[in-house]
Amino acid sequence: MIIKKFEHSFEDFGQDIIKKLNILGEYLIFTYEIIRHIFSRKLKLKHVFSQMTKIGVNSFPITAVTLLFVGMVFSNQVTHEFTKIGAGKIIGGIVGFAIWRELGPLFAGVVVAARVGAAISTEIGAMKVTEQIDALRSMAINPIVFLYVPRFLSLIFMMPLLIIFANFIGFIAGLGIYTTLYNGNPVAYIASAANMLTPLDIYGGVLYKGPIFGFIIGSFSLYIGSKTGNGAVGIGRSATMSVVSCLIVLFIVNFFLSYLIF
Amino acid sequence: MIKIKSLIKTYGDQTILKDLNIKIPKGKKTTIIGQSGCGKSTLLRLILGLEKFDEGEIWVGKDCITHLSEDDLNKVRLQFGMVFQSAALFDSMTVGENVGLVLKEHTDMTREEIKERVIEKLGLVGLNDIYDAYPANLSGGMKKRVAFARAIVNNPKVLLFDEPTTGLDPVTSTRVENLINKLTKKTNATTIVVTHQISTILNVSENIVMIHDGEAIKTEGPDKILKSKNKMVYNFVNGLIK
Repeated sequence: MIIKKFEHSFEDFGQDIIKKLNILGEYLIFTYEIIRHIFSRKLKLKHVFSQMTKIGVNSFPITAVTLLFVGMVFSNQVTHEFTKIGAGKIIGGIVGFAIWRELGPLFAGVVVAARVGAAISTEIGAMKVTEQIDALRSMAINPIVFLYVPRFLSLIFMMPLLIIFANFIGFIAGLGIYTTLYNGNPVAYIASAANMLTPLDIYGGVLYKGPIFGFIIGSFSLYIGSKTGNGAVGIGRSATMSVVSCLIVLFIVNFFLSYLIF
Repeated sequence: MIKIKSLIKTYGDQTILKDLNIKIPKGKKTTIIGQSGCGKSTLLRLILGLEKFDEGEIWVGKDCITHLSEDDLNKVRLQFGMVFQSAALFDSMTVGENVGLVLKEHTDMTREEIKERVIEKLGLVGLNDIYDAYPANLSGGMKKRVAFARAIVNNPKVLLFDEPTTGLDPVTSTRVENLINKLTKKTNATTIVVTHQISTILNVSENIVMIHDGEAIKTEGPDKILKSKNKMVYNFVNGLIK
């Protein structure tokens, strides 16, 4: 009896692993197909620019609000504690480190995963469920070139720009708290950041993390959207899955990238 | 002519089409009938190459699409115009953009030429002044007619209609059926209509094929189908009337 129970558990475990490996394989093939079609002659730059506006430019306000408060909260905590131990002069550098290396890129990624990743999965999922993707194929239009590649590329191009913007807002928000709530000297704040931050701190988060985060959000949300089934319920499930998967992978990848870059 | 030879299609353990053989005559309107889930819509998707089948052959004119790559399939697909059950209009595009998309993507026509052709086709289906409207603002019947205009915009040789009158009221259904007859006459296209609406079967068909248990049953024409000698066909069409 007990042996049979164990056998069943192992069987279920094995089947679960095979299922997950299948999904991983499908995801890798899907992503490879997108990358392969980046160089398709049928790709229209107009579609990429249109998505860059939709996906990127429209994400600036929410990214600004998020990083404004992240910068303020972080600066408040750091200034509060550091002034107690007489380390007020290095606050600009500390805030700069945190924002440029970690908080700016990561929170911009979280915002884009939540706002854009969910929107992409929902849009592609709805198109699939309502036969719009089949309609494209019936018209000899490749949905990978027409739908997926523009969204994928726009995320890769726009993430670094969003991160630069996010970093700037977060850093300035920190300066605002430092000077208004704690009467700090703005010149000291900026000088400390200028002394402590290296060029790698400035561009590492932007140039390395940005495109990689864009790649993750783009490939995951498109893949999950393209696998949508079961009508309205399926669309909702895809949106949730997209956000959850993107966030988990972003946090994991962010750790390894930070370890490797800085 | 479209020839389907010994076609087998399975989903997991379930065999939807088993040894299906059908000849669709050129320039005629063929109606595919059968119970829900018998594989009628699947057959249209297989003819268009939207899904792969397990065994058999599908011939579109001189092209056997069985082993074609996606690029080669795309050349064949340009001979088709398909109207999906849900109309499948692109929500983010206007009616004009929806109808003109295939021309924009596959021809060297200028924007003005495309607009002219789109307006002509929209006129053919009785829709004027909705060029800039979005699908969300159209009724079900109007959406279907926009889908018709989209299907005929590049003058295809074959027209496929998947349940064109399902979900429409009787008056709109009749209008849609008349439109199918008008378009087929005008374009001289080979037409396949998948339906289980008795009015569509009687008003549109020149040739009727019933799919039952994964195989094709040749039936009488629309004038005699109600008194079909085949018990299966008789029960099906008379069941629809009841």
